[in-house]
Amino acid sequence: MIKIFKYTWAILKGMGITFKYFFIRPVTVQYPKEKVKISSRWRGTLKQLRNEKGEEACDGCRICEKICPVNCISMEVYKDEKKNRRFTSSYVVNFGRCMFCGLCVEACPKKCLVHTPDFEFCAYDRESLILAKDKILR
Amino acid sequence: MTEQIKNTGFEEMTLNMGPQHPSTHGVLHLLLKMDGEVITEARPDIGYLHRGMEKLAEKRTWGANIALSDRWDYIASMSNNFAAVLGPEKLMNITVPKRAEYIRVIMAELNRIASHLIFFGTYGIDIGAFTPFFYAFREREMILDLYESVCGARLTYNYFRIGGVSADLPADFVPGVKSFIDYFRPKLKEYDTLLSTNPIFMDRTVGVGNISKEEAIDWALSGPNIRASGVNFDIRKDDAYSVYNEFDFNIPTGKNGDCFDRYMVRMNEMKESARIIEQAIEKLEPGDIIAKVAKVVRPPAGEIYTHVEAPKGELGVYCISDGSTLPYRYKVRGPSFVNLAILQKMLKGLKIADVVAVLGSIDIVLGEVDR
Ligand code: SF4
Ligand code: SF4
Repeated sequence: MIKIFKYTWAILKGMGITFKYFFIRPVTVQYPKEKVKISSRWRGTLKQLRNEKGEEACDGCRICEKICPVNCISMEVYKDEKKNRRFTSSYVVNFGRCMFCGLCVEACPKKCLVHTPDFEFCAYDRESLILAKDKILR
Repeated sequence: MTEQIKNTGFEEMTLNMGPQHPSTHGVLHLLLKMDGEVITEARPDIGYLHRGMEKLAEKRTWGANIALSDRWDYIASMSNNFAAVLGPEKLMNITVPKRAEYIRVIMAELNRIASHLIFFGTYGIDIGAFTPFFYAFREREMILDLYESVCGARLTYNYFRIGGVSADLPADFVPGVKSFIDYFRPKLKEYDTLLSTNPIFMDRTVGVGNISKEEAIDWALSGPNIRASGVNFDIRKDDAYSVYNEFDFNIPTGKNGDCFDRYMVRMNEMKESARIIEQAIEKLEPGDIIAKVAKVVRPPAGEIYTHVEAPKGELGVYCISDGSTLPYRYKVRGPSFVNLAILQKMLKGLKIADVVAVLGSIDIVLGEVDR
């Protein structure tokens, strides 16, 4: 009998705490309608930047390809004799493998590979997770 | 019928619990042999989440292994990062800058709070109280937001580097941590009302699943599980790594080693972690965050065992280097894996209703058990 009172009192005390939160602004975010603010350092999908002349800044040094722990970057490089520098003829990132670790971005000597704040990247099949240069170079 | 039972006893029944059971905290499969309601034999069947982490590590550079280490115990990735960097650093005799050391300690202790909060929430669910879960995750969310502002990820941080950390703290991080701790302290009292002093909760946990001092040592338990049995063993004090010897903190221990003691040790540890974080913030001074280390490291040939006090226990990494960019052998001692073993002993003789209470109280994460 005493136990029943003890248990009831404990439940009421717990309910008291819950009841307090009725009057406080809810912390839940109604996600698809509202969006949370993403930190500027967010490690989302990758994108390549252009340099100030508007041409691609990446010179195909392959450092990002080598440092990636899961080998999800692949590229082909050619040398442009006129401009006397290298370019990539293809640059493919397989986001099905990518774990967004940020090592490639950190290692890029030209600082032309960066993360986007995009965290909603998804697709219906695996092929669409493989992005080529037309999607990555922005 | 009664006559028959008297002669031969109940028929032994085998019950498969998991791998898809909400209370097994992942994909643990328990084979329970039962005589009526009493368990006569319990066998954990693991390996559903095996990814071959140790073999994968042999084909990754030392730096890339930090990114892989996030996936061992995925709710306390910072501690894993810590364990992954200490080995190569010691082999190469790198002195980590002071600022980086303090940042590491702050991160690891915040992670301890986050991990214990998950324990608090899920243990409440295991026992039958749903509310604590939401409160624990609300607080954990704040820690994750802090992490997000520092390293850009919320679960797999990949923040530590050999020789330091990858990025400096943003300007609003230190005020953020301070306000979090001010917010968090009163919440711990609230948790006590919800669970710690709740007679319903205590009836389910006090005196259930006792582990004696000797047993805990024999089964090589570590972390809160061994401390609850009254063994004062904490790597932060006993084999201080990083700058842990500079801080003033207590090590909470229990007496009886039952489920309630294991729960209480974790709750008290959160308070101590908050104290360490406050002290570390006081000591933060501007400076370098990473020592001068080559991008791709080649530790000299040799072998080393380093261990850290992860939220779940002693997380050790034994690595052998042959002087190349890849480790030759990379053995991980996951605390959850070792702590899980005692389950077969503890469950024997208990009622089926207590299985979940005991399993929850040793706080395993299957990513680390299977690796
Ligand atoms: S973020 Fe990590 S996994 Fe993804 S492409 Fe870069 S290095 Fe590879
Ligand atoms: S590291 Fe940077 S510059 Fe080099 S190939 Fe990758 S994206 Fe291009």
